[in-house]
Formats: sequence, structure tokens, C-alpha cells
Amino acid sequence: MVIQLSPASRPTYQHTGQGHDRRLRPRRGARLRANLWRAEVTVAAVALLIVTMALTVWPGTAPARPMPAGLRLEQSGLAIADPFQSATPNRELMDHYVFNGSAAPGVGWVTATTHGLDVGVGPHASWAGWFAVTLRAAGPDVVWHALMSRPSTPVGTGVGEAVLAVQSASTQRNGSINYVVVSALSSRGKSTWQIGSAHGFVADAVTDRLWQGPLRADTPSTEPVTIRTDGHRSLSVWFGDRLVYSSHDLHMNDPAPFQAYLEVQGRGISYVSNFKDFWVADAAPVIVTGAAPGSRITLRTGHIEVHGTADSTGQAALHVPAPELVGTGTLTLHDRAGVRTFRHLHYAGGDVVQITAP
Amino acid sequence: MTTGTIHNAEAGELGLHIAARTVVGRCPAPLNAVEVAVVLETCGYTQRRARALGSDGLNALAERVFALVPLYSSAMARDALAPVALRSRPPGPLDLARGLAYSSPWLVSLATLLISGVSFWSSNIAIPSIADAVTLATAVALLVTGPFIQAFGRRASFYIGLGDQGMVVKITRWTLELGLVATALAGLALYLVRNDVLRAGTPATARLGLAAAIAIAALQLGLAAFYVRRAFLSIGIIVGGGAAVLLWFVTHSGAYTDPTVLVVWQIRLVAVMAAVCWITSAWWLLRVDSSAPSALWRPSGSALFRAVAPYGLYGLAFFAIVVIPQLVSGGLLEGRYTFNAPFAMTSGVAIVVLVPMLAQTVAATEHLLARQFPAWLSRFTVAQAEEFRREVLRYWREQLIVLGGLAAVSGAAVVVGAPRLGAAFPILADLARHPGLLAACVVGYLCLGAGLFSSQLLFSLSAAMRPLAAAWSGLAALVVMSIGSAWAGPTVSAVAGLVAGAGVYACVAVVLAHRAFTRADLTYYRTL
Repeated sequence: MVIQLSPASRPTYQHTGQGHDRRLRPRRGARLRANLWRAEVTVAAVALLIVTMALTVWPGTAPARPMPAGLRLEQSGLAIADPFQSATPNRELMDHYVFNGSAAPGVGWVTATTHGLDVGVGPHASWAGWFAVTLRAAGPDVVWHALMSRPSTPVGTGVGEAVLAVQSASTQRNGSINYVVVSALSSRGKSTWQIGSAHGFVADAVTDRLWQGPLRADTPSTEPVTIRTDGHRSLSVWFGDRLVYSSHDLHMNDPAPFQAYLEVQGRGISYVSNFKDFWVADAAPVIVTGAAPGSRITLRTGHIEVHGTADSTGQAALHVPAPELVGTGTLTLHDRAGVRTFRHLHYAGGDVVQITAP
Repeated sequence: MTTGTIHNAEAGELGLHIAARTVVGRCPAPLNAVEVAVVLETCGYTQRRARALGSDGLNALAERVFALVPLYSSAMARDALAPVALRSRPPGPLDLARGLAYSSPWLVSLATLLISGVSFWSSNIAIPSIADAVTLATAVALLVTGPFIQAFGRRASFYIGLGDQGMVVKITRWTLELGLVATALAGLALYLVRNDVLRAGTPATARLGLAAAIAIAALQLGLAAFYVRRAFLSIGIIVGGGAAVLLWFVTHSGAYTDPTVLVVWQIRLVAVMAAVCWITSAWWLLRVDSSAPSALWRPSGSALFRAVAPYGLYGLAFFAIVVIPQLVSGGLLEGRYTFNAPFAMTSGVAIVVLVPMLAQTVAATEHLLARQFPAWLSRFTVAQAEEFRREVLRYWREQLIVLGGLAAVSGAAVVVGAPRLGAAFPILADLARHPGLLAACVVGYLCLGAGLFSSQLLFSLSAAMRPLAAAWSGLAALVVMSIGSAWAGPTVSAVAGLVAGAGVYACVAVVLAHRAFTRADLTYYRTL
């Protein structure tokens, strides 16, 4: 192999004699012009890097959260947040979600409107499903939440199912499609809510039903569902503030991290699932720093009130219940100087919020 | 009798000196005895006259005259004289191994893909919008940069050899830098059409596609100077370093690699490699001892354009044959583009057959130029053109047979062996489901390799128009066949176009190369 160790050395055609006499007469400014060109190339190379960096900035998976005056968000614990309160083109959703499923092309569909994210299947025979899966994975120490709904009228013939699943993201590495699932099942004029754990390799997972609500015609069609799992032994599920299932003695073998599947399944019928207020946040307290030692700090939302006391370093931990880990509230600081209030604080579990105002 | 002998010898000696002065008058610094022989022959020296001057033939006379040249050439020309090796042996495994170095970026990329499932601009994580954007960007980058790289490769080595820094800068500006600007504009046009007109893909992947087109083009163009200077070690360091960073990233990303994060870092890594290549080229590889020649010596822009245009047009047609089937497989003829995973996978595996064929092409071409032609020219005179042609033809046939053997072995290895690797490498897992597609793609790329081989040998004879005709014929056949078979679906249309296009390109190139070698004469001396 020929390795050119010193390209600035003797020219290739030295034997030809071409140009030898000319080589002795350096042209005025030639060296300067060559160096200017080299500088140009260097600057252009740096510009290439800057342009590439700028063009490849991916949109965030959670909206920006403006902090009230006097507070600064030091660290965010909010992994994903999509309120699904506005009509969003699918091409924008697909920066964060992949749409797929067992339904034939054209049968499965997804639409984001002001009423939420609809995931549906059109007319088809037998079972067919469609889902929006998050590109970002999170966990194990996170909480998954969505306000999920099935159509208010129970299904007469066929079967319809609205599904929120938290599935291992390591399928490409190990083939595991293990997941935990909360679903609203509707058939023969009645509906029920179910919680399960599924196991499978690459395809065709088998679900173990862990909990099932009553099968009735008037089962609520909408539930605010919150899931926390470590993927192995622990699973807790809340409907609203109500803990409906919790176990720390399971054998799920569902390796972290996880992705959320916002999903619909239908057998022989068109069906649609609806999702709103979808978020994923760290299963951790909201940390407030910069307070005077001993200060009392309170976070109030419309539903809860959480208290904490600043330690000697001025840091306080606010242990917000899992279903309320993401929300908007008022932070109140009680210290020797008096009471200070910070309204409209958009908080999330795992946030580190610093008090900046003196 | 003795006196007469002395007189004859003196006359012969005088004749030699006259011949030397004659040669220096025509050619102040001849390279070697071959060049002296050519000059002598053009001045009317024959075998008979050579014998009259006490030599066995013209070549022997030329050697004696060459020894006298330093007496009559200028001091500077004398400095330039050096012995040139005229011995030759057929290209061997070492030459083939050196030829493999040309494919080192590609081989490193393939190895990285097999090991980690991820490479510089491809991975086995198939998010449709990302796959569409990146494959389209790669197609644009290949199509647009191809002509500029070919033009640069042909012309830059000449000016580097001449030691003309000003012209090296000029040719770099008008080929590599212009190529990057053209690709950026093409990428921007694609971005505007997809994002603002068709509303295809996602906003982030549309921007990503633009970045990918620029970064990939910058890397391809940035590597051009490395090939011209044969700086394969440097290529290996840069590409290998990039691969190492990518492997580190993948192995440290845990059980799940976020495809958006991955593709962002892939593109950024390519941009970093490109930036390193450009800076290294400007400050090191393209630095020459400036001769600073008079402006009168420099060709005009239009002359330069005419000189490089055939090579550029050839590059455009060649890369079109490579790229257009990928676009057709995505539904180009149906007015859309969707990444076709089976075709991309099978064609991506099949194209590996080009590696040994490219190595053979490089070995045969470089051997022809560096050793074989000088050896022939030291043996044959203008009057011995027939014997020369026979040697040339024999070389062409031998190299073609070697190429055929390599093609057969590599083609069989890929068709039979690659699907069996699916168990070891997950990225090849689906290959066994498409044996017919794989075989057809292999045939297409074998033809492409044969066309490339013939074209490069024609280029080495400075016969640029023939490869140009071959490549454009192939491209025309590809278009006709793709449209003609569109009814059978995008995948069939793509593979039919590939096989037809590459087949026609190969046939035309081989026939034209054969004719060129059949009609070879000693004017090919100019190729040295």
C-alpha cells in the first residue's frame, strides 16, 4: 500500500522537467492566497458543523415550561408530555411517535384533534389493532399517565378495546415484547376495565389478567390511568387518585426502559380509543432549592396539598402522589422574612426548582 | 584496417553525439531510453541507421544516446533525470490488496453495520420517516457529488504533479467546493418540495434530510483529495475513528437506542468526519510547492470545463445507475417515495460484490500505467506496433479473465453465503426470504463492476468519451426498462432497471474497451 506521508514533498512528475524553471520564480502573493484559501476551507468546515448541529436539533418531547418569576427550573423530571388539546398534523406527531399495528394499510388511523388523540381501526374482519408508540423510552423509575377513553356506547357485536400499554423497549436487542397493560374492553353491550401483564417473544404475547373491574353496561368510558412499574416485580395502577391495583410480588421479566403504546384493538368492528393529558415523569419528589433552612414549603393544586421543610442546605422535597406528579399549582414559601407565593408553577416529579428571588 | 576501424568508431561516436544533441533539441529532459527511442524514431532513425552507429537496434542506440543526454541538457533538466524502472510483472495479490484500500471507508462502514446494526447513515432501526429522509439524502448526495468528484480526481492529480498551488486551489473550488454548494442547493430544493409542497415526512426529518445530504456530500467530497494522494492510512484513521465513536455510542446507549437520538448523532458524526477531511485536505494533502506559473500557462475556465466535462458526465451517469433503482423501488414512478426495506437490504448486500471487482480494477489500471506501459515501450518501437498490440490485447484479456473469476467467486459467495449469515447478524435476518431479489441484484452489480473495470481502463488510455457513451447507454436502458416494467410493482421495476442498465453499461464498456485495446498503438505513450 502506498502511504503518502508528506504530500508537500517532491511533486509526482519531477522527472518530466515541466515547470522547473517556473518553479524558481515565486509569484507575488501566491503563498498568501493559498493560506487564505486554507483559512476559508477551515471556516467553511466549522460552518458545516454548526449548520449540521442546527438542522439536526430534534423537537423536545415535552413543551417548554415557563417558570413563575423568582423560580428557575434547574432540572426537569418530565420525560414526555402531550396534552393532546389541539389539532396537530400527523406529520408533526410522527416526530415523537410511530404509528403501526396489525391492521392493514388504510384500516388503522391516528388523528389528533382538540378532543384528544384518536387511535382507530376502520371496518375489517377478525382482530386488527393500531397504535401510536413513543419513540422515546423511559424508566424504570417513572410514572406513566393518560386520560384514556373508549366510545361511550358499549359494543353490541364484535369486540372493541382501548389500550394503554407500557412495553419493554429492548425488543430489537432481545426480542422481548413483555408489557403491562390497562385496557377498556367492550363487548355484547357491556364493558370492563382490565389490568394485565403480557409475555412474548417477538410476536403473539400472552396476557395474564391481574385485575378486572365489574362487567357492566354503565362502566365508565373514561379513566385517568396512571401506571408505575419496575418491569420485574412491582406494578401499581391508579384510576384517578384511586389505587386499583398494586403488587410487589410479580414475575414480569419486562426489562427497562419502556415505551408507551396508545392503542386500539377491534374484532370485526370499527373502533376508536381516545387519549388526553399524556405524560411520563420521574417517580421522584419535586425538589425545591434555595430556601432558607427550616422554611416550610407548600405545593397546592386543585386536588392536593403537599408540604416540605427545607433542610440545612435549603433544599426541600415535595412528595407528590403518583397520579398528580405532573400538574400546575401554587408554591408557597414560609420563612422568617414572611410568606412568598409563586402561582402557576408547572411542576413534574423529579424537577429541581430553585428559588432565585431573595 | 585498423585505421578504418578507428575511423568508423569515431564516426559512430560522433553520430551518437549528434543524435544526443538532436534528442535534447526536441526533448530537453527525456524520461528514459524509451522516450529517447521515440524521439529518434520520429527524427528518422531506423534500425539500419542504428546498426550503422554500432548498436544492435534502435532501443540499444537509444540507451547509448540517453547516457549522453546529460552532456547536452541544461543543468536543471539534468537534475530532473533519474533512472526509471522498466521491469514488469503481472498484478498480483499485493496489488489486489492495495486496490482493496480504495474501498476501506465502505468496508469499515459495512463492518460497523454488521457488528452494531448501525453505520454512518444506515441502521436496522427502520423508522419510516427517518429512513425516507436519509435514503433520499444519500441519493441526492451521490448523484450530485459524483460528477464533481470524477472531475476533481482527473484534474487535481495533474496540477498537484505540476506543483501548481494556484491551479490546485482553482480546481478544488470549481469541483469539490462547487459540488458541495450544488448538493446543498439540491438538498434545500428537496427539503422545500417535501416539507412545504408535498408535506411529506415530518418537520424534523425533513431538516434531518437536508443535514444528511450536506454532511454525506461533504464527506464524499472531502475524501476525494485523500484518494488522489492515495492517503489510505489517513482515510483509515478518520473513518475508523468515526466507526469507533459510533460503536461506543451504541454500546453505551443501553438496552434501547432511541432512533431519533441515534440518527442525529450519526449525521453529526459524518459532519465531523467531513470537516476533518476538508481541513486536512486544505492544510496538508492539497498543499504543494507552488510553482506560481505565469497566468499564460494556466488554462481558461472554459478549457478546464471542456477537459473535465466528460469525466463529470460519466460520474453523473454512473451514480445514476447506482441510485435511481433505489428511488424506483420507493415508488418514484408512482410519484412518491417510501423506503423499500427488502430492496434496500438485498441491494445493500449484493453491492458487496463490487469490493473485489473494484480492487481488481485498481490493480489492473495502476499496473498498466505504472509498470506495464513503460515496460512495453522499452521493448517496442513504432514499427513494431503489431507485436505491441498483441501484448496489449493479451493484458486486457488476462485482466478481464481475472475479473470474471473474482466476479464468479464473489457473486456465488454473496448469493449462497449472505442469507446464511442471518443467524449471526440480525440485520441480515430477512435476507433468506428474498433469494431471487438478491440474485438479481448481484447480477446487476456484477455487470456494474465489469463496466467500471472497462471504463477505468479506458480512462487510463485517456479515452474518456467511450466510458461516457457506455454509462449513458446504461442509464438510458435503466430508464426504459424501469418504466417498461413499472406495471409489476416498484421492487421488480427497480431490479429490472438495475440489471438492464448495468448490463448495457457493461456490454458497451467491454466492447469499446476491447476495440480500444485492439487498436492500441504507441501513441498511448501520452498516458504515462
